[in-house]
Amino acid sequence: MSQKEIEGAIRFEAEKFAAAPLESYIVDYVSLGQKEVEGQKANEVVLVMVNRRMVEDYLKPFTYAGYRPQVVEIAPFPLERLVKQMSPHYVEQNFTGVILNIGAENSTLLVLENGRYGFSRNLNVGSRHFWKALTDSRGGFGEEDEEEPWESEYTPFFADMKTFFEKKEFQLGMEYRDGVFDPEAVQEVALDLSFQLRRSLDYYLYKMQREDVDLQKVYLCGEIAGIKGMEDFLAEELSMEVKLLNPLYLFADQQGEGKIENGEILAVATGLAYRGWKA
Amino acid sequence: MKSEINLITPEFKEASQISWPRTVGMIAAVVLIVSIVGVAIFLPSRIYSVESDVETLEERIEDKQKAYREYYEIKDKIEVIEHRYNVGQQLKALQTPFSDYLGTMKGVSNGEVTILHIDIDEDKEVEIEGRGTSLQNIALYLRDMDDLEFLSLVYHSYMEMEEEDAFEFEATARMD
Repeated sequence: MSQKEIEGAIRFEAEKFAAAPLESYIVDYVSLGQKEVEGQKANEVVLVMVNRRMVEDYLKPFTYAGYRPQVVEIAPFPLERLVKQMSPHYVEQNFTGVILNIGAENSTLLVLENGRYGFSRNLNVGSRHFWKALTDSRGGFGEEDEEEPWESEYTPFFADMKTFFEKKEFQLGMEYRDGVFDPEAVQEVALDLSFQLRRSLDYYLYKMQREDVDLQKVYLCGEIAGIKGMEDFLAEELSMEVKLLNPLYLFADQQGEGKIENGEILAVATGLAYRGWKA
Repeated sequence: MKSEINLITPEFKEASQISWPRTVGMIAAVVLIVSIVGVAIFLPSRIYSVESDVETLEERIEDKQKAYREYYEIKDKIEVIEHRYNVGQQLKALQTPFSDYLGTMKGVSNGEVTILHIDIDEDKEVEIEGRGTSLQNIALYLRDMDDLEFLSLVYHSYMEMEEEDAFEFEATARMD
């Protein structure tokens, strides 16, 4: 099929998924190449549909600030691009496995097959859920620490996180400083995340008939990916190898000298910045 | 094969394209304002500079004129002389120089005929008054006159004996 024919077919298929008139969506697609289905060659494409108003809302802050964004993407594609850029020194060449980016409100699960997009899904657990669980169960933490009080659950997220990283006081599923936090509360959210992950991967492997795809490894990135204990926790829950995906490791030498910590927060942003670069 | 997506809205894309001319317009406006301000600042000083240059040059011209005054006076005199010479030449061109002709006409008389008066008017009509010792001499004179290249139609209009051996005559001719 020519690109024009594919675009026509995409529009036809998109109408099937649209709950509202197609004009209220921004529709785009990515070609994954040809695949054999029931003995016939077929073009495999990823159809992306986003509510137009949502895109406009995302663009507004930039336009108000005087900027004119050139590209709007969804997280899986920058993550795929980042992995390509980090291969083969930091990520295996033609990596087949999982990328998990923990966002603020939700997380992005991306499955790569031979380094290419295979499957993605949004998980309804984000770093905000972790912080909310913490603040809900913080006990007397706010009262004890007058210099850096936790005013409410709306305390700026990064300020909170900075405090955490600096003090290194939080270890998921382990003991906490002076028993200030309730570990069960955070663990509940973490379990929810791992549960959603497992369910999505099961869907991918069995419902999408990809039993032949061997998923052994998860690269973890996002806002609270670097919290001590998170890798071990997910590795145990998923029975997979879990490793941090820090794009700023690219700045380190072979011995790891010069590596920048907490770079995993910038995974999606770095992937966006790599748009247009050759891997 | 399409490998990337862009979910930016078409309207936003179009607005971005419009923003370029807007940006260019802004730059043009800024350049224009800067130019106007620049002209407003630098033009008066430039005018002053040019005026002072003109004054300096005028002073130099005056100095030079003083230094070369004699030259200019001689030059003026030469011009006057040249003018006069030209006027003289033009006047000469208007008049026929008759003196040579008169000499020739007198020379023809050969002593036997005395020319008393020759008058040449503007139409080159020549009137000759003279006196001869005989009619024959007068006739010969007139014939010789008629042979002159610059004279034609020589004829006598009056001939009278004054005394014995003295005849007066008047003749008319035309100069070619």
